[in-house]
Amino acid sequence: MSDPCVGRIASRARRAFALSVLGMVAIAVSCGRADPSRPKVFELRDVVGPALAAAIARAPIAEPTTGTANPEAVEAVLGTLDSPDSRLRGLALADAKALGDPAVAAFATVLADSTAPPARRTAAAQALGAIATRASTAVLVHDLEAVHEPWLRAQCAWQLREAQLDEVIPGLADRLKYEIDGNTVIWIADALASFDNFSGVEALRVLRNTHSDPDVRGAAAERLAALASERGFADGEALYDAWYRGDPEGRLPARTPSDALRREAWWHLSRLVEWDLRTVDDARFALVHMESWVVPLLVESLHDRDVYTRVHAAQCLGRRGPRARAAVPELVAALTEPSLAPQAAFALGEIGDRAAAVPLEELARSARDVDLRIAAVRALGSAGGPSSLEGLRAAWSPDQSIDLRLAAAGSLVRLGEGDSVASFLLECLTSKVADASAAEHALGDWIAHHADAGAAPWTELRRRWRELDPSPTDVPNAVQVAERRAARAAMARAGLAGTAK
Amino acid sequence: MSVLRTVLGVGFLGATVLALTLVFEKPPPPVDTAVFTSSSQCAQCHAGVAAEWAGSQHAEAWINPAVRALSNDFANTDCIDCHAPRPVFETGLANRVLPRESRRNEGVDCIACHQLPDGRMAGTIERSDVACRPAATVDLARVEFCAPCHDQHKTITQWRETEYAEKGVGCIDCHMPFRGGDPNLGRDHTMHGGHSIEFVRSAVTLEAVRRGDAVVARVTNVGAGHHFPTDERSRAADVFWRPLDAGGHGVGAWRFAYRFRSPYRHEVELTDTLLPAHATREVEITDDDARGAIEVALFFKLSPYWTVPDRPDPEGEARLVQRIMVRP
Repeated sequence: MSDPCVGRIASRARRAFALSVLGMVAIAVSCGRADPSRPKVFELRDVVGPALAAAIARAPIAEPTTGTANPEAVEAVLGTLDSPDSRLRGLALADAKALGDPAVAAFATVLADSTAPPARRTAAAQALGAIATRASTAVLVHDLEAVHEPWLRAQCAWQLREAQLDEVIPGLADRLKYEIDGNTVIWIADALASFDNFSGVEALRVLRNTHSDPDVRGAAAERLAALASERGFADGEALYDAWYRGDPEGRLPARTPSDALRREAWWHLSRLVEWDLRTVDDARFALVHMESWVVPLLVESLHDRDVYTRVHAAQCLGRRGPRARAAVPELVAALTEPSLAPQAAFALGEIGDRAAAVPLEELARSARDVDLRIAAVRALGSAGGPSSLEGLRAAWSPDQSIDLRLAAAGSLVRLGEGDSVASFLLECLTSKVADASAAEHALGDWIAHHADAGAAPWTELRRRWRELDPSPTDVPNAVQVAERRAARAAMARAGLAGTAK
Repeated sequence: MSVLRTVLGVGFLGATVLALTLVFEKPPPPVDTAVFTSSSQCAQCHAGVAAEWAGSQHAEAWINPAVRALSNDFANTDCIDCHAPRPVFETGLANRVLPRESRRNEGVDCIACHQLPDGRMAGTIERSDVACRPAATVDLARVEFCAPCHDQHKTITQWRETEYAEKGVGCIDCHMPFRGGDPNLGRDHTMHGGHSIEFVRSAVTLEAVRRGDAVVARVTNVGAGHHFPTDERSRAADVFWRPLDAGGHGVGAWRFAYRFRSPYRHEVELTDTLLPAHATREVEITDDDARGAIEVALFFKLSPYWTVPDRPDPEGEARLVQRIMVRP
């Protein structure tokens, strides 16, 4: 019998020896691999923190004002702004501007006072617009969200337009996400456009096409047409198209952002690490809706040491779609960074630039990480082309996972090859193991693709398909969802029968 | 130079393999490990647990029709992070989870909660002779483990202000109790919450008394370790009342008295009326019709909207939590 203690020591010695040998082997192998042609490592560094500090140094955040204005002067301004005489009102605005920051607190108090007469609160908003400083516009941005009365929120938007400090753009854009009053949305869109930011145009189209109040529909249509005309576009659709396609013809005016606006952009980028997802999404929303000068800042943030900053910056670029085309090379480089690659692939798909097709095809064929492979396959639906079809068909083959097959089928539909995968999508629509919602979307795309080609049975099918879309206020139950999918399956079968003929 | 290094490296590797073969008299038996890409793999050995989970809201996180409607079919992509998350342990305890691209229809699945960065599975025991190689991980039981998702709606923050936090009663003590109360049987993976009306009933009491001409309904959060209701701005609890006839039957439609709810950001005209743990809120009913016999009821809703906002139908569109009669 050997001593068990001696045995344990011998075992540990063997393990230690083996580990040290393995360490030396690893060093030897890594030396052998020192190849200058290897892909460059995607560099991670501190980006947002230092950039924000530098931006604040260039444009310091305004200190709260400590002085107070003469109450009589404040009252005189408020009283005169209610005058029917436009000359007197002009003088009152000049007086308000002369009072400056020390009067901001007094006007802010009146603006927020729900017991004050509407004309007095309107006058306070006008006075703040006339002061036109960081302190006064900060109050207007705050009250654009906080006051209960929609007419007063619209007034705040109007006064932010009058003040013309571009650092309010993120605050205005943020309200596009939450504002539910149609008239206020129109004034927010108008204020944004006054800074050559046309992110409110989409909201104007929605209001024009769907708002229940004909007055709001009319006002939105009128403002949209006016904005388009002022910028030399034939109509609102042309303006919308130029903005959301990234202005490929260079028709939109490009302003240089102020240092204060750049500081605001970095501040929003610094918010991407926040815990609360709504805070993060507010920052994302603002960054998505800023003008194109923000794209290089987002690209730089892809390199931030913080994983949330990297991932959310990539999401912002993706949500900007073609307006982030300048980011394509860096997003392609980001495909080599494991923590960022799926989101970079998503972004490349949303931007839809063919320049990304080859690297995405490579990942769709051989990525070892299943999430990355699926993201690449999805992205090829919009960034891919004829050269992508072979790889997508391979990803759709029965020996692949159901998630990958479904992603590939969706992309094949978007590339015009839907007839070959429609039966599979139909199976997935009623499957318990596949993502039935994804199958439903892809089938809808397939029918729309045929309808866009103009064939009458398909346009009718598309009409019936869309009729079953739940309304925004509906919360269907599982039975209703099953019924909708069964009805849509019947439509898809009818479409399939048509293609068989 | 590079070729020489490669040759040296390969030669060294060969020598090392030989040395290792000599040193180890008997290599350890290979562990039949697996790469987990779907929770269906877990069900092969853990069928009972998987069946419990399949009936839970975690399993429904991606496919639940209400979730899809309220997230605009996940066009609100920030919802994906928690409704189809990458493993919690990947980003670490008390850090936000990140969204995944694959197996989204499995929602918050086994892998999301149990997979460790090294591919092992977090559990209550340590074993290396089974495919999932469980690693005893106390972090699974911490509130910080649930926080990445459930504190997005401030549930954990609410809990920190309660006596439960002081006593160390955490999320799983109520939502994942031991099966049959026996620690040896493991924890229930059904994870009951707001979707179980019995569970909701255990959270609050409803009392009502006469005070002068008015009836005062009193709702107390006696059982929830957080606000009531919690976790979703869409959730609401409503106090209704209606007169009773001589036979004790309700007369006419239910009349609205009070709503417990945290409003959405765009609902600027509403205030947060959630009921904190251990707190009581009194609701005064002063209508002339309330001078006679009435019944007061508390209803619970998973979505805040009524089909006809001016004429809510709580019996048809909400679930009854408590009901009480008040005589003159």
